[in-house]
Order: sequence, then C-alpha cells, then structure tokens
Amino acid sequence: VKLHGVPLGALLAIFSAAGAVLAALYLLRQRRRRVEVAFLRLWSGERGRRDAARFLRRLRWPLSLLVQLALLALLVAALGDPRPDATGRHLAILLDASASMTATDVAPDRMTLARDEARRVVESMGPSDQAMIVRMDARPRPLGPLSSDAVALERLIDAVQPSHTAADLPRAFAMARDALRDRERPGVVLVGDGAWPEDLLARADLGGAELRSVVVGRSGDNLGIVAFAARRYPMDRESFEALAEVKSFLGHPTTARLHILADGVPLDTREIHLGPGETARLAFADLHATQGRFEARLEPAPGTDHFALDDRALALVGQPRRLRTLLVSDGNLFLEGALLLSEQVDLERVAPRDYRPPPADRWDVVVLDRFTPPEPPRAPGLIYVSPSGKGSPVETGATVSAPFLEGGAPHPLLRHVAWKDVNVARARVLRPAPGDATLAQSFGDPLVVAGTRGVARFLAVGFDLRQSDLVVRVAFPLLVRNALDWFSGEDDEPLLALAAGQTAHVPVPGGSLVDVVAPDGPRGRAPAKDGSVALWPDRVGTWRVGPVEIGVNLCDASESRIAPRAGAAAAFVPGRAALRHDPWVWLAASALLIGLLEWATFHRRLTV
Amino acid sequence: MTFALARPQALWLALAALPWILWFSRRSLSDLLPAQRVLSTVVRLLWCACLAAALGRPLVVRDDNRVAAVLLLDTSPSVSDEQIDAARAFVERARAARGENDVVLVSFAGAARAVPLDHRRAVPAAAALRAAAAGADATDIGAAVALGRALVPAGRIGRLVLLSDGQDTEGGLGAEAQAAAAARVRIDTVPLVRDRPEALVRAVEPPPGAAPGEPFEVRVGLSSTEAQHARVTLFEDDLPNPGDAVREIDLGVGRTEVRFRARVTEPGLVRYRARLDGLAHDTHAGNNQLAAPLRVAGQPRVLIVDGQPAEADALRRALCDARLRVDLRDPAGLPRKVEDLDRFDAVVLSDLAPESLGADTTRALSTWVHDLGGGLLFVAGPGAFGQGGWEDSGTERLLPVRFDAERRREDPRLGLILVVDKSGSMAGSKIDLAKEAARATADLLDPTDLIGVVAFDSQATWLVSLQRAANRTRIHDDITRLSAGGGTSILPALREAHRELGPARAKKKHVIVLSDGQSPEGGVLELVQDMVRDGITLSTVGVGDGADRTLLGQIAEQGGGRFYFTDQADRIPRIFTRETSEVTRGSLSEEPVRVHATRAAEVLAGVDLESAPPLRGHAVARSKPDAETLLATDDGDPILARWRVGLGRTVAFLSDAKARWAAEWLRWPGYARLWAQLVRETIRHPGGETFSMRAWAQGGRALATVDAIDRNDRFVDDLVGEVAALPAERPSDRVTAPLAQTAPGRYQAALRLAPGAWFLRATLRSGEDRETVGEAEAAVGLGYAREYADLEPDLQGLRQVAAATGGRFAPSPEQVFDTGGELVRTPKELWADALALAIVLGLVDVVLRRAVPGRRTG
Repeated sequence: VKLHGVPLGALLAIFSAAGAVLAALYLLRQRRRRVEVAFLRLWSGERGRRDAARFLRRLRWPLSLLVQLALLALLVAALGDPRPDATGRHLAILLDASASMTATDVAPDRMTLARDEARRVVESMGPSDQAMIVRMDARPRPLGPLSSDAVALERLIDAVQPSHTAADLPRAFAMARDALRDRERPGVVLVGDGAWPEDLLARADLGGAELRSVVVGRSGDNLGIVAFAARRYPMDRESFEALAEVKSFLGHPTTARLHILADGVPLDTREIHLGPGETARLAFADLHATQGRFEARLEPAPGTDHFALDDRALALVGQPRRLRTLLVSDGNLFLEGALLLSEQVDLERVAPRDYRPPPADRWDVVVLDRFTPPEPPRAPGLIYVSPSGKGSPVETGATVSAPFLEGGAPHPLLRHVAWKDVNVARARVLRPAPGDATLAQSFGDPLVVAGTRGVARFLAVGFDLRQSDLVVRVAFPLLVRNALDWFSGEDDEPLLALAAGQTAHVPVPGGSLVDVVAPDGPRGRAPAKDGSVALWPDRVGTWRVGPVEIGVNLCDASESRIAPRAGAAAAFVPGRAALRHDPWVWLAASALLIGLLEWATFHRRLTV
Repeated sequence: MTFALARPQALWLALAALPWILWFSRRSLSDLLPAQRVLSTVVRLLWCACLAAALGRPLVVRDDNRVAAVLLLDTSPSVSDEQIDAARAFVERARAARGENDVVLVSFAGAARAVPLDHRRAVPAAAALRAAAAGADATDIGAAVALGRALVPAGRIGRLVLLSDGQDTEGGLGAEAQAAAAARVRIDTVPLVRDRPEALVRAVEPPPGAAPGEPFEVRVGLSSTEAQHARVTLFEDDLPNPGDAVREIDLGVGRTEVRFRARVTEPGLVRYRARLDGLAHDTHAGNNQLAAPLRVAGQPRVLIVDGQPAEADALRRALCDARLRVDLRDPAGLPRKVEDLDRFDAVVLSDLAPESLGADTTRALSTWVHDLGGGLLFVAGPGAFGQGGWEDSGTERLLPVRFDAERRREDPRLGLILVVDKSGSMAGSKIDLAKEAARATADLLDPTDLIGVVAFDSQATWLVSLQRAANRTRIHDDITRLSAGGGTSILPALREAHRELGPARAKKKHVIVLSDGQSPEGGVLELVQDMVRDGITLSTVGVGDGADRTLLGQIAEQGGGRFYFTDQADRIPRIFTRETSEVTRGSLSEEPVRVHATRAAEVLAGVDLESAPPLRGHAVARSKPDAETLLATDDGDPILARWRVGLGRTVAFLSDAKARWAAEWLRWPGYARLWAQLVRETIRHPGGETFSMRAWAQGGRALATVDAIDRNDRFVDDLVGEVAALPAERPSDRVTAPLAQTAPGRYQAALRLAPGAWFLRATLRSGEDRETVGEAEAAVGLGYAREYADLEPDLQGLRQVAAATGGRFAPSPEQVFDTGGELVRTPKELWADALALAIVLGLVDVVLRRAVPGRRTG
C-alpha cells in the first residue's frame, strides 16, 4: 500500500494526538446522576439485577473507547489516501467525437451516451489503474496525461463535444500506442458508435495493448449529401453547374427531395428515389446566381434520417476578377465582340492615333490590333494582332500565303481551340524566342505565339484577323477567353467548398494575419504564408478567412454511414464499479456507518 | 472561487443519516442534559455532513498563475547540432528560471515525442534528442504543437515554446496555431537560424510541351547560402543535353536561374535532370539534383515488322502517304523492351511466325499496349499460320480474336475416312504399316473430329465406322482387325465413304485412299465428282510399282486433294500423317473469299468494300466476346476485329496486306485508305476528347486534376477512370490511382510516387458502357524531400504564429514564464479537508459527551 495523501508520519502524529485526547476523555470518571427516589426498598431488587450485569457494564467503557479509536483510525487512514502498490492497468480511452456522434438515433444523442459510457469505464478503474482520455476526431488529441484520478478524468470526458469531422482511427491508435508504450497491462478502450472501418480495427497496431470497445447507437438509418460542388461554365461565366450526390444508408427503398438554393433563393427541387444503399448523382445545369452561393438541402422522408449534418451542403463560387482592358484598334468588331463575350472584361477602346503609353497598373490587358507601339504597354497581359516593328514581342519574318494551320505543343491557350480548317489569306511568320510557345504553325513556320516578357504575358497572332475566317469560328472566342484567363492567372477557378476535417490552403489577398471566423464564432487570427492560409475547418457551415467565404460540408460518405457496428472489437466489460472506488472512500464510508451505529448505541446506553 | 461536487449523490447519505440521528437523540437513554444532547446532536449531524461531503468529492475552482511551458525542439535534418545545442542552452536556462512553474520538453522532426526531463541532470544531447524524435526528412511542426497542447497539465497556464527554423514540411502549423489560439494556448517562437552552408537545385522547368525540332528553354533554378562557384549540368535522358549541357557559374547568395537551350528531335517523353557540382560550401548532397519530364508531341510513328520486309512495301507506302512516320523491320528488329516500343505509336505485326516473338517481346508488347496506350495491329498471312502456334499465346491474349476457333467448336472440324486396300498383295509388312498409319492418323486428329476406316478388297468392309476420334482405344482395336486377302476394287469402298461422309456434320470432309494394286475404273471418277459436289475432298496414296498411279492420280486431282506415291512401304505412316496435317490446317483457309462490313464504323468510312476484290486466303479465328468485328467473310469468319486493351487498342486483320492473300487488294483503290484509317485509328492517341490535366507534387504525392469539358462548354459528368503514372526512365513501372469526381466535370486523384520525373496519363470512361470518353496527359517531377528544399528559416512564419496566438517572438527563457496577468482556473479537491474537519468534529462530540463541567464527580 502506498499513501497518496497525508504522509504516514503526519498520520501517526494526528492519530496519536487525537487518540490521546480520546483516551483521556474516557479515562475521566463520569459523575453519576443524582436521582431522588421515594422508597429505597423498591430499588434494592433492581440494584441486585444491576450487580449481576456488572461485568457487562465494565466492558462498556473500553468498548466505547475502542469504537471511538476505530472511528478515528478509519478517518485518519482515509486522509492518507492509501492505494495498493500493485501494478494497475493503463488504459487509453479513445472517445469518439466524430460527426456521426451527433446522430440522434438514441436519446438525446450518441455523444451524450458515449460520455456516459466513458465515465463508466473510468468508474470501473481500480485504485492503481491509470487512464488517459483521447478525443478522437480528424485530429485525435489526448486531453491529458495518464491519471488514476477518476474525477479528473471524468471532468475531461464531460468537456468532450463532437466535431464535424471524421475520426482518424489510425492516428488515434498511434497516439494510444505511443502513450502506452512500456506501460504495464496496457489497454485501449474505444468508446463510440462503432462506425469504424473493420479492416482498420483488424490491422490496428497497438503495440500489444488489448483493444476493447463500447458501442453506442442503435440505427444506421440516414440519407446524406455525400458530395456537392458548383462551377462556372468555362465560357458562359454567368452560368453555373452544380453537382450533388445523395446516398441512402437505409435497408429499404426511400424517397427524398433535394432543394437547390442560389443566393438563398430556391431554384430547383428534385424528387429522388433511392434503393437500399443506392447513390444518386444529380447535375443541376445552367444555374444563375449573382453571388455564386449555392446550397443543397436534403429533405428525407420522415423517420428515415437520424443524422442531420449531412442534409445540407454549401458551394460558394468566387467571383471572377474583373479585367480592365484597353483595345487599341481602328475598329474590329470581331475582336471587340470576342472580348465583350467575357463578362469580366471592362473594355475601353482607343484608336491607334490616340494611343498614349498608359501608366503601370492602369490596364490589366491591352489588345493591339494591327498596331505595335515602340514600347510594350505596361500591363500584365498583351494581345498583339499582326505585330510588326521594333515593339513586337517576337521578330517577324517572311509573309506566307494561304498557310495550312496546325496546332503546336499543348498550352493553356489552346484549350478547346482547333485550328483545323481555319483559312488565312496571308500571314507573317513569327520568330519565337526560346521559352515562347508556338500555338499554331504552318509547315513548321510559327504563326501564333505566346510567351512571357518580364512580368507580362503576351499572345501574338501573325496575321490580320480580317484576312482570316478564324474570327467566325468558335476557336476565336475560345482563344481570347483562354488568353484572358491566362493573363489573369485564373485558368483554374478555386472551388470554395471544403470538406470538414481536411486542411485546405485558402488563398487570401494580402495580410500576414487573417481573421478566421467559424460558423460557431471567431477562431482568432491565422498566419498567411505565400498568399494562403492553412485552414482546418472542424465544423460545417460558412467560414470566413479574411475576406474570403468558404462553404464547409461534411460530404464524407464514410461518416454518413452511421450504422453502429457492435462486435467490431471485443466489448469492454466494466466490472463491478462500486467495488473499485478509491480505498479512502471505503474508509470514510465505513467511518460514517460506524459513527451512526455508535450514535445509536450511545443513546441506547449500550456504549458510553 | 466556485465550489462544486463531483459526486453530489453522496449527499443523500447525509439526508439518510438525519432521521437516524434525530430519532436516537430524541429517544436517548443517556444521562446527557438536554442542552448537552442538542449540542451533541448538532455536532454529530455536522460530522455526518462532512463525511457525506467528502464522499461527494467537493471541488473548489480557484485562479492560478503557474505556467506549464512545453518546449518544442526541432531536431529535423534542416537543423544542425550546433543549433540544437543553442536550443538546449535555452531549455537549461528556462529550467533554471522555472520557479513553481513546470517545464516539459518535446523533440520533433517528422513526428513528435515527449522527452522525460530529469531536473537533476542536463538536457539530453543533440544525438539523443534526434533519436527521440522520429520521421527523418520531414518537419511536422503541427504534430509537435498538438502534442505540446496535450502535455499541458490541468490547472496550469499552457505555454508552448517553439524552437525551430520554421520550415514546416507537412503544412499543419497554420491550422494547429489556429486551434491553439482558439484554446488560448500561446505559442512563443524562438528561431533557430541556419549556420551551415547549403546549395541546391530548386527547380527544373521545361516548357509544358514541345514539338520535335522546336527550340525551347529549360530553366534551372538554383539557391545558395554562400557566394561560390559551381558547375550545372543538364541531362536529357541521362545523356548531357546536346549543345548546351554544362555551365560554370558564380552562385550568389539567394536564388540564381540558369537557362539552357534545348531541342528534341524525336517525339516522346524526355526527362531533364539538372545536377549541381563543384561546390565548395554545401551540406546536403541529396538536393543537388532534380529532374522534370517533358512530353514532345510529333507525327505518329509506326513500326511494321514483317517476316519478309520486302513484301510489306505496299503497306509501308500506304502509311507513309497518310503522313505517318514508318519504320519497316524484319522480326529481329522488333523491340524487346517497353522503353524501345514506347518510341512508336503503333506496331504492325505482319505475317510473322509465332516463334518470332519471344517471351520478353510479348511481355513488353502487353505492357506497352495495356499501360502505355500503344496500338497493335496483327496482320495474318501464310507465314504466320503455316505451322499454327498462336493459340493460347501471350500475343493472342492481346488480340480481339481467338485462334482455337475450330478446336473449341462443338461440331467436328474434320470428317476423315481412310479407304485402305486389304487385297492379298498388301500382305506382310504393307498391311502392318497401313495399320500403323491408320492408328497414327487417328491419334493426330482432334477428339471432336470424325474418323472412319473402310477396308476393301473386292468388297468394302467397315473396320471403324465413322465416329469421333476421341474413342482412340476402340479405334486402335478395330484397326488391328485389318488383314490382307482378296482382290482390289475401290468403287464399293468409295461408295461407302460417300454414303457415310456425305451427310456427316463436319466443316471439312476428306477421304484418303491407300492402294497398291489395279482397280477397275468404272464409275470411280463419276463417284469422285459426286463426292466433290458434296464437299468431300480426296487424296490418294499409291504403294509399290503395282499401284494404279493413273487412277489414283485422277482421283486426287478431281477430288481436290494430293496424290502420293511411294515404293517404300515404311513411308506409308509418314505420308498419312502429313496428309492428315495438311487437312487439319483448319486455322488457315486459302480459298478466295470476299469480305463485307458487319457494321458501320468510322474506320471504314470512304472505303468502298463493294468494289473490293476477293482475298486469296485468311486465317480462321473467332472474335472474342467483347471484340468488335468490322469485316467478315461471307461464311462469317471474321477478317477485321478490334478492341481496347487497357489504355491501348489492338486490331487483328486475318488476311495479309501483301501480294500473297491480298494480291488483288494491292491494286484496289480502297487498300491504302483502309490501312491508313486503320492504323491512324489504332495508334496511341487520346480516346474521345482530350481533356486537360494539371498535376503537381505535394509531399511525396502527385496530385492530378482532370477537367472534363466537352466542346460545347458543358461539363462531362458521371465518368470513371484512373490516372497511370509512368516513370520517365522505366515506363513499365507504373503506378495507378482511381479518379474520383469532385465537382462538375472535375476528377481528382492522388498518387504516392518516388522522387523522379513522372508522366501521367488519365483515362476517363463512361460509367455505363465503359467506352473511353476522353484522355488527358500531364507530367510531374517529384524532387527530394521538402526538408532539404528551403535554405532560410521561415522567420516571417514564426513571427506570424507567435502573433496569431498572442505569444512572443524570440523571447528570453525567463519571459517564457511571464503570464502577463493571465490566470487559469484550477480545480482543487476538498475531500481531505472535509475528512479532517470530521475528525475534529468527532473529537468535539466526545468532549461534549464526556467532559462537560458539572457532570463529573470530583
């Protein structure tokens, strides 16, 4: 036995002192109570009987003292908080705090029941057992070191709230394995809904620790949105397409309705018929939303869904950057039309004779139609149509008649652009510099070239558009669109919808520290590195990272599969919790019981 | 300060004790004075309450200002021993200044571990600290912060002190810093500034694509912490880059870029590797080279391998006219390695004997077609099928046809009747040799074939009635009964053979006549004509000078067979087996056949098959179940079939493409067009649409995103597919990962790849009919571990982390314990206090009972 409370010396001192007081009090003789009686003879018989019980009366005094000393001993011993020195178990209690723990198939929810179960595990610990609580979600975290203090452990358990992420079981196991390494009698108790991949449990490397589980939850009935995303069409930037996947985790056919909202306004509703375990993928084409905020809401049939987190999903599509564009031309409606097809273009026109070199940062794109200024305009994107002279980004060579256009090497500007059957009357051969890309050529002679000069990107077309039928082909607006995207660096728009529990790097304009606001309130400031903030969203809903809004969804089929699986690991048997309390509790309880009995015997004059 | 009870249910004990105490107090027999009794009762009630309260585990929550400082020490390879020693000194000073505060140490690299600190001893040495952490070649600061937070004991102000160069290779620091800030755990950051020289190749950047012969630049990004001289070498596929391979440069401190001129003449995948040498100041050698791939697109290259290359010239010219680059080789020139095959977009195996393809070649072809998307055209021919042997071969497994068509058919392929002369002149060795020949013939046949043996002298006698050759034992026994005797008359025996064979269900019906004598001719040749009309062919064998060569010759000639003569009886068995081999050559038919299209296909567009002359022969095979038969003979034998094999396509053309079976086709105008379209359709090219794919390296993984957008600006959804990653140096060692749709028209995959240059090819198929809808290509280079990629400490990052969590940047060890007025609420258990009070109350009770003045006698 080892003392964890008051040290032995102090206990002995306390006991000696208090014992001495008790003994002294009992050594004092008590004065008898004087009672006057009417006739002494009446009491003589009584006195005879009392004389016969003299022996018992003599025992009453030491017995009373012994009882008092026993009471004192019990309480003083309890103060020492003695515990057996035997080797106890070392438990890692992995408390599932994943999204599926919010399921309401049991009242009030799985998390509450899991906390109760975890507390039961702690209550079942022996005095020499130690345990640590690991909160298990996508980022498992030990909530404290190994401890034998049941109350402290229970306090930790009570504070565990479910996150909206999936449980990272391998990482939790690794954590438990590390914590229990070289410990005696190690054990891992998994407390949760059992919606864990069985193969993970089978492959779990726990370093010899025994794996037990306590499963809460009753039903796996759920319908969930397991994927939701929206994108702009590459050409028609005002229109969007959204894609939703709805999966049934029911064992019978069911019907549900999926509502699509854009900027908060209902746009479309589809009725979905799903067989057992079926997934429906629904595409919503040609959607329109000014702010690009889409939301999918699932309306399952009553009684078929115990998990609400996956019934809503968000997709926020960022607004394309506006491009201030200057067209320097004597008039080219085809070129102007192709530019105006892009809604992100703010176009201004100027005739070559009125052209003045613009200041830096005035224009994002400058288009030079059959006009080449001696100095290239200071803009990040330049389009040259039939360039010539010293100001051309590429040297120009001989003129070829009726060239046969062929595509060059793969390039972002050539996405969906086909040169086949494009007719050109005459073209100037361009001489690209090393590093430039040839987008179109005729028998090896480059005619359309793209490249970079300094910080500016350029596209050079070696022929007059009016002497070609390119402008009436679909390839032309595509080429212009691709060029604008390439100039603005938006050849791939970000998809501002994330899955909860996955780290994402959110591009944020400027700022080294950015405010992060979660759906449940501010989360402080996050450092930005290389223009992006590493965000780990642990709740579904709308997050704000600086000026950027992001929709965070559960969208995890494995987490939507909430069916509890008892038997995945051997069940934890709590044992008789009441017998496993700390010894001081038993000592104190015994003292209380004896004290009450002593009270009764004292007042019935069995003890003094 | 607040109070709470952990087990409030214990208070029920006090409530339960109350009536007990009061009842006995009221019914007391003791001689206590009333006031004394009341007082004792109150004390005893308080005593019970104290014990019940103790059992209820009372807590008091108080403010505390003690700090638990968890020092997170970066021991990753980017931190030197000297830096770690400096950090150890920091830890020592912090320990010395801790007072009532706690100090905990964590060592981390790719993983984090707590290091037990014995306050009587010095902090473990650098080597021990490095050993304590795990996961070399990485720095996971996020994991260290997470562990550090877990190690802060309850009731202490948590303070994490990050001693690091800030190079977080796993990218988890930002998110963990956020979580720490949310939990009000401050992170102080102490930068460990690099003190070792380092130079590295930061990037190798060829253009996204190039055309053959087109000059381009390969940019090589270099970084150095010291100004020093260096030599940079650029390799193209392990050979120095032609024309511009080596540069002697002076590296400045910081970043330097070197541009190499490059040009690739041949299409294909090229790997550029830059190497940094001759460095005077460098620590890690592993980051001194880096590779990146480049895909060079060009005119498709086709390899024709023909048993007789000179005969394949017509095919070569047809393909050249279709603007294809054609190599014509003999079988010895067929590449045996995938890398060599990968230089071609299609391979035509024309009239090749099966033995021309070794096991290595077959394996390489299989990988090339399946994994690299190569196109294989198998063109039959008499040379290829003269001796058979394609059945069950590796090549056959690639092809859309099966060559064991006849063998596996339920109906007999061959009905063969041996008509054997048993006249007296055959007595002796001749009849024995005839028996042996008959038995050998029976053994040669396929079990499903039919065989019959008719012996004749002046009469015909069935030795073996027409039956399946599977009954070999019985057939052998029956043949043994053959004995010589009697005259010679062929006609009755031929009649019997005709009678039995005519109605028999066999694709080929044949009779072999063996005779050594003169037979009456009357009616024989007429019967032979009748037999031919019934599809029966006849061959004859004459033995010895006495044989009627004229008649036997005429029978063979009119019967569409062969006439054999021998004067050596011991050759009879050999003649029979040869003849049997001839007629069992069912995999080859040299009868003129016309072909017709079995279905409309783009590959046949513009080819006027109506005007196509007949082919003089073809190989007999049957299409595999998933294959697409495009051309067939009027008998239904497939001539042209195709299918997909993995990423590639294979085509089987079961006639030839030269002046043997296709002699008339060479003059047919459709010949060149058919072959040009056939090869163009089969060559390696994206199936369906060409989608765009982006690929980038992240950690040890390549992430690939394919955008499936059709020409009408619509997203293509509901596709399935995969990405195959092929190392530039060994395309056969591929790694694949499935593509999953993540958004309209967007499919993503992640591949865990070894460092090197990788070429990625994505294939997307329709989820319904598995037809290829589109393909995409990209290249990605994976370099050395990120741990070695950054030279400078990320001071800005460390500052930001400190600022985001309210911590200090570069604090002194003493400042670590500065709470700044911060307090933490600490729960303290009071059960021991309650017990102590109960002890006191117990004593008071005894005093009240026994030591009250006035109750004692003197």
